[in-house]
Amino acid sequence: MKNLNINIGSYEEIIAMKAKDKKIQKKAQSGGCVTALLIYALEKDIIDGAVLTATINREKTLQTEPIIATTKKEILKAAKSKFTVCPTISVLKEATRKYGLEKIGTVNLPCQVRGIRKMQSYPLATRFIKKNIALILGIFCTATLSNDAFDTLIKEKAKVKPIEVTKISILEKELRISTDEKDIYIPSEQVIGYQQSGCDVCKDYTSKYSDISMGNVGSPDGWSTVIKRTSKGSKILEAAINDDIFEVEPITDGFNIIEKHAKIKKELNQKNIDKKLELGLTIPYIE
Amino acid sequence: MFNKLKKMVNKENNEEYKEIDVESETAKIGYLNLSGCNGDLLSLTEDYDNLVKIITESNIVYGTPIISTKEVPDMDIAFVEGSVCLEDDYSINELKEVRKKSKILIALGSCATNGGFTRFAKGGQTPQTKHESFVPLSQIIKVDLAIPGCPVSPEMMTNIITAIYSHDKEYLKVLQKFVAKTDTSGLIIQEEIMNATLCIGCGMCTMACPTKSMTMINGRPSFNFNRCVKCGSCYFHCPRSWWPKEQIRKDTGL
Repeated sequence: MKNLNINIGSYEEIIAMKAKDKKIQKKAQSGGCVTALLIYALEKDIIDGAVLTATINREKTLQTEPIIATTKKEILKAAKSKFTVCPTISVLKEATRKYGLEKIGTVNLPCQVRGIRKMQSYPLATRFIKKNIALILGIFCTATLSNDAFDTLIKEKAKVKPIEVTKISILEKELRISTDEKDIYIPSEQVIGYQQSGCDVCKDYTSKYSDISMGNVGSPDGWSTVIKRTSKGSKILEAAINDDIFEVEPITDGFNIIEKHAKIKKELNQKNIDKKLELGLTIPYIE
Repeated sequence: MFNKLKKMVNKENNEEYKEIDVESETAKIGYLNLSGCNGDLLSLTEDYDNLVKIITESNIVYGTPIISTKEVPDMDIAFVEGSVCLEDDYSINELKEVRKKSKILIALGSCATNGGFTRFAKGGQTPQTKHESFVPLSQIIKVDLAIPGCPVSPEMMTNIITAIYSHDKEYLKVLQKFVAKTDTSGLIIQEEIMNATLCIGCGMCTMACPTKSMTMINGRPSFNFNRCVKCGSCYFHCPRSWWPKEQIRKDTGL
């Protein structure tokens, strides 16, 4: 049974989940669901590799790079949320050609999920990639920051060294940058100035076209919100739940919180789109 | 003035296209290769799973590498690959003849759609020193549908043939708009996506580029003109250039 919500998109069920593995939890952003599900899929041979986003050089910067992970260790390297733009899907071709992967799992932002879905429906110039994508996990996304903007935010605004940062999270009205010693809060209005302008015309908060969408909005601390979307995604997730990988709770008030966030993004960016249309720009991407 | 511009934009978007539909269940298919490398046809042969099915179930009546007939027969669908050489009268006549005898003419691949790599020709090469001007098909004849790609993926060819036989007009509608896109090179990503504040640095263009002329530098596509073959794959695969909403909903069930 599919439910349709104007802001959240089409889905089968929304639940709150938490990975039971303590090791994963320690490394993860909130519930560790993305990491745990990928590792489960890799061990059960649902996927044979994953295209992910990781922070490679923590010493100097928090900038991200796409990685192709084929082991549990490599998947763990890509844990935690990233906030900068990363051309993750640019290595899909390399993953099928150089690594010979036939069942790729990938974790993407809404825009990247859309890129893959479009490629699957109209595979114009991408030979033998469409069939090799086994699982698309979508992440909740408000907006992303360009690499340099993010560096400035961390180094100049928050005044911390990249290597000291243990976790970054988006709260209701602020961005929290945590180190071992302290937490630094930056109000959302100040972060907006660092966002990519391409994100101003996106109205997709919950990765509407993914197999499974995940994020931490809508569930308590240490838990992840999980949206089952396609039947393929639901099947994989249910198998993982049956194999005792996750603790599962229903979401109660969470639904309204997700919807509120989705609606805010949608309405704000509709205004931006209208402004651009008025300038005479064509925005072929309105949905 | 804004309203005027808006109207112009809307007019362009709502422009009516002739519906692509083939009545007969055994549609006659033709293939013509002009100034191209045969790569799109070869690409189809790489799809071993579907090739036999396509060849046995479709009724191919014309096309040099597949069938040897000199007379151009009546066709329901004609696939034309490669650009047209303006100095080659034989090619132009054959193309015009195929246009006359076919109900639907499909530009197959980037060379046919936008000139592709042949746009860089300057003439003076052996054995045909005089052959120097190569143009997209739509400059000479009316093209109904264009499938860009260098080469077009076998999956896409299968999709097109299936869509034609199963009367899936919606799937083909988008491709009708591509006929007008004759100016696609890597530069179009800069002009139509980045300069229109649409780029989000997702990396799709880099993935789609067959020659690695598109690379991601500092979160944005960076275009190397020396490597570009002008196929337009980057543009057509960009999630922000056009958006087949209904088709994706249908395919994913969302």
